[in-house]
Amino acid sequence: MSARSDRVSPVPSPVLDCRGVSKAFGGVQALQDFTLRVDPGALIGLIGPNGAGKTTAFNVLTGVLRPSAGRIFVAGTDLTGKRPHVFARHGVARTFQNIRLFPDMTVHENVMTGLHMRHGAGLAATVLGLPAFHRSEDRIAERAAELLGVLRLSDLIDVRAGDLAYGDQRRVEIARALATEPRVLLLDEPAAGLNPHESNALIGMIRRINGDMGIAVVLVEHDMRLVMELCQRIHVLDHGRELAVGTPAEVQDDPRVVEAYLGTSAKAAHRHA
Amino acid sequence: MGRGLVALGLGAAAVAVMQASFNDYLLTLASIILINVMLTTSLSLTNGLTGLFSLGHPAFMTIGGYVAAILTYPARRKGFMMPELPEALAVQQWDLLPSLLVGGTAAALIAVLVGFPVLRLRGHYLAVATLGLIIIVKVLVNNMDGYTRGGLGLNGLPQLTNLWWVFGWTALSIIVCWRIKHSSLGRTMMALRENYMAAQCMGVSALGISLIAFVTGAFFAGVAGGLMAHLITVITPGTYSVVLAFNLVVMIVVGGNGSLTGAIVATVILSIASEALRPVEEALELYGLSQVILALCLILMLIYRPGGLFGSAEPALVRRWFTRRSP
Ligand SMILES: Nc1ncnc2c1ncn2[C@@H]1O[C@H](COP(=O)(O)OP(=O)(O)O)[C@@H](O)[C@H]1O
Ligand SMILES: [Mg+2]
Repeated sequence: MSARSDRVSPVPSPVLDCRGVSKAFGGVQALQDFTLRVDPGALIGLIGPNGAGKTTAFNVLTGVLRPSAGRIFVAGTDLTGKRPHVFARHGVARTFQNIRLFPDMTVHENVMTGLHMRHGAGLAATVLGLPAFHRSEDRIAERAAELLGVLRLSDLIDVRAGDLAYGDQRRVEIARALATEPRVLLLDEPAAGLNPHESNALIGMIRRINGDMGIAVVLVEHDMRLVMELCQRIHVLDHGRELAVGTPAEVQDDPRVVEAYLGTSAKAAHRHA
Repeated sequence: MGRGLVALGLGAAAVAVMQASFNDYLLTLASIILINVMLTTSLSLTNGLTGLFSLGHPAFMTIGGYVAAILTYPARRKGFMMPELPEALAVQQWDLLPSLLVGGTAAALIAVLVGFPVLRLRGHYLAVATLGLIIIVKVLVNNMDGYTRGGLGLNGLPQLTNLWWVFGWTALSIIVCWRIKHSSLGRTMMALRENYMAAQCMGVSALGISLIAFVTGAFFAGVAGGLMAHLITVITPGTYSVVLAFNLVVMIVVGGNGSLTGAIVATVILSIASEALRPVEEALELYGLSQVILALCLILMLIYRPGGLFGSAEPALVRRWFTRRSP
């Protein structure tokens, strides 16, 4: 922390700085020499055909997977090889492509879980029922309710997460991630399975998170409309390698990108023939 | 906590009535059932709430039981029974409470040693490690015969445990587990059970939180071992075995994963049932019948009501009664 304030450089340190990261599964190079720099408040897209390595990139960036090479810095601290809860503590939050809520807990409880790390009471205070414990429980319950209010999810507060409609599950997962009070939020295909009305609501939600709350966002998404509309910069992955980086317009016109997408659909068409 | 005190008062009144009207057999039986309740509620922290699978309670009971027994043993007989005991310990003859606390702490320390390497790993490692622990503890107790009299066990322990002691400790165990369950800490335990990876990505330290559940359970198991030893006045290396671990697991599963009410109700019913079956076993010479019936209960429960009697939550009535905070 002090190291950061001592810096003379006027450039803020990136919230997420991923340098030359690789990850192999047996013979498959799922991610190769991946580099990503996320500055505070940035909104970055990560796109690519299925199997390009986007989810693997998120898994490495959150400590779920250890990279085979490269280093990962979060807000200036090298967290390479650390466990997921350490990444969370330093301000990395995420959602999952295949939703991973806590199904047997209510929406409120799901979000409260995210608040434990920064506001939860310890074992002694809990068991002895000390005032500190009650204060912490009240703060956690209030903040979770507040957050659900901001994200317009208050109606769902007492619903069991396992009973939520699909689109609501996606939004509650985002709320739970925000409860960890992150510097950067990684969203893995948040619009997957949403209808056009719901994905419009999602665009509004992401704008509020990035704009009003000032949280940097990295967005993995297949819905190009959503990506083009939201992102300032887009990284394109293919077969674990970075194919292109640029503004939405630059990336859209890049022949290599067009080919990667067309190429896979052509191959798929070939397989089906 | 006002409501909690009312419940505690009612429990104490029931104990007073039993103490006045029960014969020795019934008093011992009631004590054993309450000790079982203490064991299942404390085990449900790991096996119910956190979604881990520990079989370690018998090992922790053996540790807590022997430690407490050695501490309370009459000093004048120690030289004969425990010839290798260091002089400083041989002259000691402690009261029950400090002995129980030291026994529980010893069990908790062993739980830290076992849990630290094993709880980093997800899966069946804990089940295998705690199964191993039961066997290791048994072998060690057998071989440290200068302190433990080996396979003969320690008999003639002072009968210091009565229903009041058991009631106090069981109540404490239930209160501690209830408070943990209905707290932020308890929610992180449930979160690990519900989705291990997502919980960690929300900042939950899987190792830290699992250790809290495992070690707290081990402490109460250690105390329960001490209480039991001073109730039946004997402890042997095989008194608490894998069979006990199995019985406790069945009671928890039948009660509902993580439901304290369920664990209590299932423990009382199944303990009484297996005691009631004892004369039947003897008459029919079908020893082990109660084990078979317990196993059948488990299988039927898993087929027809996999969530157990109460699922993971407390019944609404119980929850409402206890969670309304008095101003
Ligand atoms: N846990 C894993 N074990 C083995 N291979 C994996 C694993 N996760 C991903 N892969 C492989 O890595 C490649 C990239 O996958 P992924 O990151 O899920 O792609 P994307 O999210 O871009 O669709 C794929 O070939 C996939 O099969
Ligand atoms: Mg993916």
